[in-house]
Amino acid sequence: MIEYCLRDQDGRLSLNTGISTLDFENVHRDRALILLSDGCYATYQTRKDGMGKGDVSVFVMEDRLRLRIVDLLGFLPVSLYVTLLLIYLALTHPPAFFGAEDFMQFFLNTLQSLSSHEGTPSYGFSLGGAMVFWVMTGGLVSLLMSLPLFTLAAYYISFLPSRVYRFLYYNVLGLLVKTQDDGGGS
Amino acid sequence: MAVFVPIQLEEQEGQIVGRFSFDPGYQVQGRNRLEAATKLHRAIAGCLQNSKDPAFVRFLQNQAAQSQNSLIRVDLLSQAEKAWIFLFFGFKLVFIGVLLTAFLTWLSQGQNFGMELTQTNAGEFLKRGVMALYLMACVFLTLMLILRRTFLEWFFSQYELALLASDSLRRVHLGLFARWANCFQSKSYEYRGSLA
Repeated sequence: MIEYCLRDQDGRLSLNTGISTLDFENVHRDRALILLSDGCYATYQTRKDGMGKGDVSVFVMEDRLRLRIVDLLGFLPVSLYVTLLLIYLALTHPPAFFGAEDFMQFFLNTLQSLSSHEGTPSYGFSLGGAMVFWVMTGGLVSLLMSLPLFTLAAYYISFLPSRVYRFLYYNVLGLLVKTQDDGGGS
Repeated sequence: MAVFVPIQLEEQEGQIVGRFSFDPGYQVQGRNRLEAATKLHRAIAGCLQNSKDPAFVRFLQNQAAQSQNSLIRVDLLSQAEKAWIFLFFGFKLVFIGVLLTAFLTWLSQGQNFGMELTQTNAGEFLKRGVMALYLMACVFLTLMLILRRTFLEWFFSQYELALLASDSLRRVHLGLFARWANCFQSKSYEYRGSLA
């Protein structure tokens, strides 16, 4: 259970959680309930403690089907296993996967064989072929995203710049700036 | 669809006493606000989700609109019911998928995707089989991901509206899903007051 405390200003409610997609200001009561109802399961972070003093509280049950970041821990061994399996297959060259001369050519041949029969080659656009290609490439992307290396790379590519920026801003530039907490200046 | 239920939480002798605004006769006690609210949530969820009475829902909506107290958010469908419905329609999808696959197989009878299994082409045949399995897994995964991300919430909200609108659907749903999915829910509270 999570408690949201809403401020009441003459019948108009405000919510301040620090989550920009969830907060609203000076909204009619009915509209506020709709906003909270729509937003809470989609965007809220887990908060066991109350959200400060408010005039009206709304209690919301935690969504048990919500995907948390710790749930991915169970996913990690599976993706690790898939990665190791792929590495093993790539190293040992079993005929089922890599017996063909060119895997990409085999991929394209299979795609083509689904839309046209052997002996009657057709290179025109077909809706079924486009759908199959979309699904297969989507599957390849899904496989790629299930690799732990890809996850790590995405993490570092997306978070590292902001970390570098924050390090430079607070730890390097901060050395040059005196604030009031430093003891009242020199 | 969320139903907001007005409640009152008071501190009495170091404990928090919780009541429904529309039914002060029923009260629960808790060590803190969250515990009292959780107990009230269990009681009203068991009452609301096992009956799904449109008159009771309308009554609660009116009460919430008039009240200036704290509120509990209760879903009309419980998580267990949602899981049951998801599984039911998932199996339905699988069934349709099997039918479609059978139809395609019937259409391509004798063609065997342009290939026949002989003494010499077992490797190639196996490759195609593996690729076909991979393709099926991709289709299933893609459909499931799209379903979960986009259509599930919309589908459940529409289903809840239909439940409130149609009495026959409500009766079928109560007998097929709600009765079995909610069998471990609390039956401690039942509202016996007037719905006027």
